[in-house]
Amino acid sequence: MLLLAIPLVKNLAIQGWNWLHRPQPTSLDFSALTQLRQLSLAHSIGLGFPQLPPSISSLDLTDSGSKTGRTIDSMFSMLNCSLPALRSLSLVNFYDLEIAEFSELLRPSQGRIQSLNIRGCHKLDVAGIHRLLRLGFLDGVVKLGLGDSAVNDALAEALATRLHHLKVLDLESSKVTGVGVKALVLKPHAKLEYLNLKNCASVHVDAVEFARSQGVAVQFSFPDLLGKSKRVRQ
Amino acid sequence: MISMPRMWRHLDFSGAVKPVSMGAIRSYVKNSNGSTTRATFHFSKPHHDEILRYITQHCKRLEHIDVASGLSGSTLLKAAPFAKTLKTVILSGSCEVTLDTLSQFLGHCSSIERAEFHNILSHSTIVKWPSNMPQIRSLVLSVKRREPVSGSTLNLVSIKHLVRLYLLN
Repeated sequence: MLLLAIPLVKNLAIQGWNWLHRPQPTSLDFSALTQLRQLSLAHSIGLGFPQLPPSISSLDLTDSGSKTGRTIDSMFSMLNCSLPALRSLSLVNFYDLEIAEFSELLRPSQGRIQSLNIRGCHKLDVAGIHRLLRLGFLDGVVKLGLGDSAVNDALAEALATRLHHLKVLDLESSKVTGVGVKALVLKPHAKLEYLNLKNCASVHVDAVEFARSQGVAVQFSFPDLLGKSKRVRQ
Repeated sequence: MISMPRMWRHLDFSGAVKPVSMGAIRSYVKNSNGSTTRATFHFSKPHHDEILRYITQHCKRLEHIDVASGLSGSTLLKAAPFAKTLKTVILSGSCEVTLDTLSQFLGHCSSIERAEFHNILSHSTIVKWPSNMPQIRSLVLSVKRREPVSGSTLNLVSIKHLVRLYLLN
């Protein structure tokens, strides 16, 4: 009812709502909102992938991937979704996201996405991301979030080679080492401006200092592998 | 400075470290010669009722109110009948108002184009939105408390011209 009442809306955010009272994950239908450009359904619980109009340029589904598993309708929505105008996408913690459906979601935008955050999408493995790079779906990315993932040096080198416009990169809690950091810092074309290496257990502080000496703003902290251990009393 | 109208357009007391007196407000409004179009506040008692009502009554061109804290729903409603030219109202997360209060407020201020209420309290009754809100284009409704608002309570079917809508639960 609400969506029918606001046909002219261009910028819509429905965040933090709980849809779990429904018998199965709800899939909202925004396809009638032909003026809609920016949509955020972040932090929603029990929500499946929505049906979307092709006018969407910015989509934020942070923390709204259904943890109870998605319905066939919801997966169908993603596979049949054509978003040629998409320039910004956040699917943080979309746990069930598979590479095949993610590829179909990116395909219509033809590599023109500029901001992408797939932090915590654990089913998108290194091989899958390599495939996306080869297909050119990430060619236009300027800001990329790959935190909490299995990103390794080989993938970091591929990012450095393929993503000519990349300036902001989040690799928090990944498996990258100093080798990958160096490749990213020295990449040709657009210079990296910001790099998040928090909790990267395999990155030595030398690599961080090298990156900073090259003018890259680096966020870095040693991972707390022991958790909140008690201090030693003398 | 008194003869420079641009200096008086934005009444900004957001940085005040002590409560602003009514005398200061009256001087400001007098010097501005009614040219104030924007007011930014950090309200604190005891004068907040009087201050907001005085400003809305005497600043005939007031278009924008931005309140960082200290405003109550009753204060807002007392000032509403005088705020005929208001286009933008922004109440921060420190200003708790009920859905009923804000619907009454919007009913008085039919010229409002942009309204942001960052701390709404719902009593779970379905809110009746005024029918005369032809200008409103941008609406932000954010609930801070742990009692979530239901979609049926919001009942937004009468606001057809919205271009921007944020419902933050």
